[in-house]
Amino acid sequence: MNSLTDEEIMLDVKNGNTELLSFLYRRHQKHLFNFFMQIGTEYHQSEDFVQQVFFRILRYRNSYKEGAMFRKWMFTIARNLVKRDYEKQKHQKSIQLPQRLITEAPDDTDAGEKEEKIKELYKALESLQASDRELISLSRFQGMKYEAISEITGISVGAIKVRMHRALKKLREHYFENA
Amino acid sequence: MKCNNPDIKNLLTAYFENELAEKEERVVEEHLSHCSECLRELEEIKAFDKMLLSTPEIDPPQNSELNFKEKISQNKDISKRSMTITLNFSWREIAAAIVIFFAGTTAGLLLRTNSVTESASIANLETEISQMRQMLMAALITKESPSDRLKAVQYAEQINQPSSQVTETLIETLNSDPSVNVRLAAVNALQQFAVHQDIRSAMAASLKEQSDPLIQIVLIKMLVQMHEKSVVPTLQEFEADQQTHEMVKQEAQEALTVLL
Ligand SMILES: [Zn+2]
Repeated sequence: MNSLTDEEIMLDVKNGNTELLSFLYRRHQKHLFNFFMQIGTEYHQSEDFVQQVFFRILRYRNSYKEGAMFRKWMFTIARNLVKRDYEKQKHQKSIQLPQRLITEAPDDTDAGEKEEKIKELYKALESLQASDRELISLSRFQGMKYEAISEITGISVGAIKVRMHRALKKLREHYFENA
Repeated sequence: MKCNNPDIKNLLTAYFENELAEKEERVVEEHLSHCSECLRELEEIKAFDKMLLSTPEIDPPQNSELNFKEKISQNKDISKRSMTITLNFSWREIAAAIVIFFAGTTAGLLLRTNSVTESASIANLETEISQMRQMLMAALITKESPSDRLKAVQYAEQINQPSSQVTETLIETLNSDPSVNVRLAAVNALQQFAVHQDIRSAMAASLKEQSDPLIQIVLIKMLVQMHEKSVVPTLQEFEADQQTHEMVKQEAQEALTVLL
């Protein structure tokens, strides 16, 4: 199963092998979870969103178009979930790290160093607008090409080129300012 | 040296990420050959990207996959439940459909077993039956009794290549028949003909006219499966409207996350 592409598995899911969706879940849940975190969703809410995304994929499996990039579909659903939730709550999202990462003092161990890096990144992300965090997350952390990002967000490739540059520059400046 | 070309500077990230068209790439490279400021910025971009990519991901809660499987099994129960509701609701319609189906196949069987009949005359007969169904439908659809109108709709469903008059009647029925059962049957009949874009559009437009939650939900489900995007504004209205039934609202919300 691990040698199959997302699209092959999703097609199987669509054709009725719904239990195969757990392979896709295992493959993508961590990245998707981090996407939600990076754009500013709270820790437990992020987990909940991950499940909701896959829940919807399962429910609407028949509307998956053969040949369409699975991850593009997954992120489109993910982003619409956030958008709806955001509209419902009507408040500005702020980056929220899990308690463990916020309260524990970093130490010299490997784990401590890891946490420190994560914290620095998230602190810098805080200073960005949600839409910029989204672009950065999709491109740098989820490895999506601009073309795919354009389809997911509805922003033209030309505009993405410039916005990505500005967003990353801002992130870089805040990152080193904090450090 | 101070950079004299901010437009090119703005492309540096895309250049580094290999996202430029060939022509743009050449322009940037030409610029880099004599702009030390941009060259320095490109180095910064590279270094920062390395740092970004080396930042570990945050671990999701441990039991995430288990929770997901649990939710899925809960969902199975839910879908079973709603299935029963639909069945209870439309048993009469289903019974009627079965009767008509049998009537249709019996006629078909009779035609087929009659081995001496030439295929041309079979085709003729089938056309005749089709015309008969259209006539019956036209006669029954105006009747006062809902069960007559239900029959009319089901005759329409049996017609192989319905004339636009038939589909228009179905849409009209869907939009304005006072009986929920008849409207529901019209939705089902229309679904078969939904390969035609104008019928899909008409179904999407009809969603606005519907007040019964069951019809609304069935229509939304069908339109999502057909990926009919013209339904999006209506779904958004449903979502914002306080009057919308809670279940319809949920259906609309979910549909929107998939369609948008
Ligand atoms: Zn320059």
